Amino acid sequence: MEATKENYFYAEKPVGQLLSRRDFLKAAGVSVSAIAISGYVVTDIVQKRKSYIALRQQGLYKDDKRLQKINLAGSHQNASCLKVYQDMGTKPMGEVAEQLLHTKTYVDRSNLLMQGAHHG
Amino acid sequence: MSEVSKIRTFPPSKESWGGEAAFEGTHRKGELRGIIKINQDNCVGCDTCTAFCPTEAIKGSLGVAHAISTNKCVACGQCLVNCPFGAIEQMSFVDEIMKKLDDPKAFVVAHPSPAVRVSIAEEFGGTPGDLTINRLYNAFEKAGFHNYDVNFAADQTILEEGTEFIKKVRYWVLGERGEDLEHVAHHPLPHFTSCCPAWVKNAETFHPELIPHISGAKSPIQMGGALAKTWAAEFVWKKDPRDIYMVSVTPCTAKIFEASRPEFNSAYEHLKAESKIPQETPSFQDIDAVLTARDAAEIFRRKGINPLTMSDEREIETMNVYTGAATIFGASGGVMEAALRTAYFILSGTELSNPDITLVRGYEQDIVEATIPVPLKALNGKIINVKVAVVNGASRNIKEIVKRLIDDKNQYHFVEVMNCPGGCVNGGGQPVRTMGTSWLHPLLPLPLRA
Ligand code: SF4
Ligand code: SF4
Repeated sequence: MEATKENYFYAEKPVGQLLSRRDFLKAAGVSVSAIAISGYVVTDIVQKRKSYIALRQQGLYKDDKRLQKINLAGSHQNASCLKVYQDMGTKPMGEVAEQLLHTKTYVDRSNLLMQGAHHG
Repeated sequence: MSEVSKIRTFPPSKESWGGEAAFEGTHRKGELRGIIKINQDNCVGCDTCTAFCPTEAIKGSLGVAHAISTNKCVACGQCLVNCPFGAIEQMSFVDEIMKKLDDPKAFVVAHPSPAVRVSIAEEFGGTPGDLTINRLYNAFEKAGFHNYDVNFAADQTILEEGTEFIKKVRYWVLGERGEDLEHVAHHPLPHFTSCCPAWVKNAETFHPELIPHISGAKSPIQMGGALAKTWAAEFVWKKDPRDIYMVSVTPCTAKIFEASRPEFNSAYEHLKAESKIPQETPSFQDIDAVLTARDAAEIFRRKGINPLTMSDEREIETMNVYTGAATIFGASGGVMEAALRTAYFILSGTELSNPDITLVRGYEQDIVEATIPVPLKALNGKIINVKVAVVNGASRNIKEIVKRLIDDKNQYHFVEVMNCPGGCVNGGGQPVRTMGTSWLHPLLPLPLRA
C-alpha cells in the first residue's frame, strides 16, 4: 500500500503526531483554563464543519436539480420502483411489500441500560 | 480546504457479535457492538468528543483517556469525525470484502448511499460536494462490484413511507375508518422517520415511548438489501440469491450496527416461505457487509483505482434509476422534502408546482418547523395544514422535541430526525477533514509552534 499512499494524499491527524497526552496536559494544564480551551475547540470545529456540510449539501441539491429537469422530482416518478411492484405482484404496503420493506421490530432497550455490559 | 485524515480501523472480533445470551446490556444476540472505539494510547483526554455525543456515552475527565459505554453508544461516529487527535477508531470490513471480491462464485453488489457521491472525491484530492455518480459506478465495476444505487431504494422508501403517512393522516386527522387503516390505529401521529439507525437506537434506548410513532418502513439500505436478494435476483440479475453478497457503502457507522439487527433477514424468510431456497439454508442477512465512505476509498486505493479518473459516461440501468427526492435524503430535511413531494401528489392529485421545499432545508438550525398546506382531492380541495419538524442533529434536540410533544402532542404530523448535524453528508463514516493545528497554537509551548 506504500505506492498508493504516494498517489493520493493522505494525512495523519497532524496534532496527534505533534502532541502526546503529556504534552497536551502540559500545554493545556488540567485547570479551569483547560475547560475554556476545550470549549474553544468545540466552537472552532462547529464553525469549520459548516463549510464542508454546506458544500456536500449543495452537491446533492445540484443532483436534485439535474433530475428535476428530466422529470424525476418525486419518487412516484421512478419507473424502476413501479417495475418492482409489478414484478412482485404487490403495491405500497401490500402483503409482499410489508414482508420485505417494513419492520415490526423496534426493541425497548431502556430497561437494559443498567445491566452490566462492560465499558470498552 | 483542509486535507483529509486517515482514520484507524480494526476488523471485528468474535466478541463483536456477542455471546449466546439473548441480551448483553442493550445489545441483542448477533448485534454488532464496539463499532466505535477510543484508542487509549492516543486519547489525550481533551474532552472534545463528549460535546458531539448524542447520548452522553463517553466517560472520562479532562486529561484522562476517555472510553465509550457500549450500552449507551449508538455507533454514530460523531465523536470519531470530530476528535482533533484522531484517537477514535472504526470497525471495518474491508478485508472481508476484499476476499469476497476474489471469490468467483460471489456476486458482490455495491449499494452506495446518496451522501457518498458528494464526499468520496475528497479522499482523492477533490473538493467536498464534487458530484461523483457515473465515475463512482464505473470505479465499483472496475473493483469487481455490480451496482445497485441506494437512491433507487430510497425512492421505494418514500413510496412505502409516504403511503403509511397518508394512511395515518386519513385515520388520525380525517377520522376515516376501514380495514386498510386498522394497522395505523396503533401508530398515532406524529410520524417519526426511521431511516437513521443511530436515531432509531437512541429512541429504543432512551425514548421508548416514541417507538409506536416511528415509521415501520425500513431504511433505504434495508429495503435495498431485501429487494436485491428477491426481486433483483429473480427479475434483473437472474442469480441465485444465496450467491449475492450485498455491500452497502454509506456515510454512516451506525449502518454497520443496523445491518446486524437480527430481524433484517427478510429476503431469507421470504425466499424460504416461497420455497425458492432449500429449507435447510442457513439464515443470511439482507445486507452482508457495510463499508463507510472511507472504507470504500481504501478498497479503491488497494486496487489502484482513482474514481476521479474514471469515465463519467454510462448507460442508465434499471438498478441505478433514481429521482431528485432520493438524492436529497443525504441532507438534513431531505427525507421530509422527498416524502412531501410524493404525499402532496397522492393527496392533491397534482404535482407540487415547485418541488423545492426550501423551508425544511439547511444545517444552521437545530430544529426546523414548517406548515405545508395540502389540498385534498378526495374532499374537493379542502386544505389540511401538514405540520412538520426536522431535527437536525440529535445531541440535545431530541430531548427538546420530546419536551415540545409532551406540551402539545398535536404539534406536528411528521418529524424527521437525523442523528448527525446537517444530515448524512456529515455522517460518522464520511471522509474526515483535519482541522490542522491552528486551534492549538495559542496553547503550544514555543519550541513546538510551527
Ligand atoms: S476528542 Fe479524542 S483525544 Fe479528546 S478526549 Fe475524545 S477521544 Fe480523547
Ligand atoms: S459513536 Fe456516537 S454515540 Fe457512540 S460514543 Fe461516539 S458520538 Fe457517542
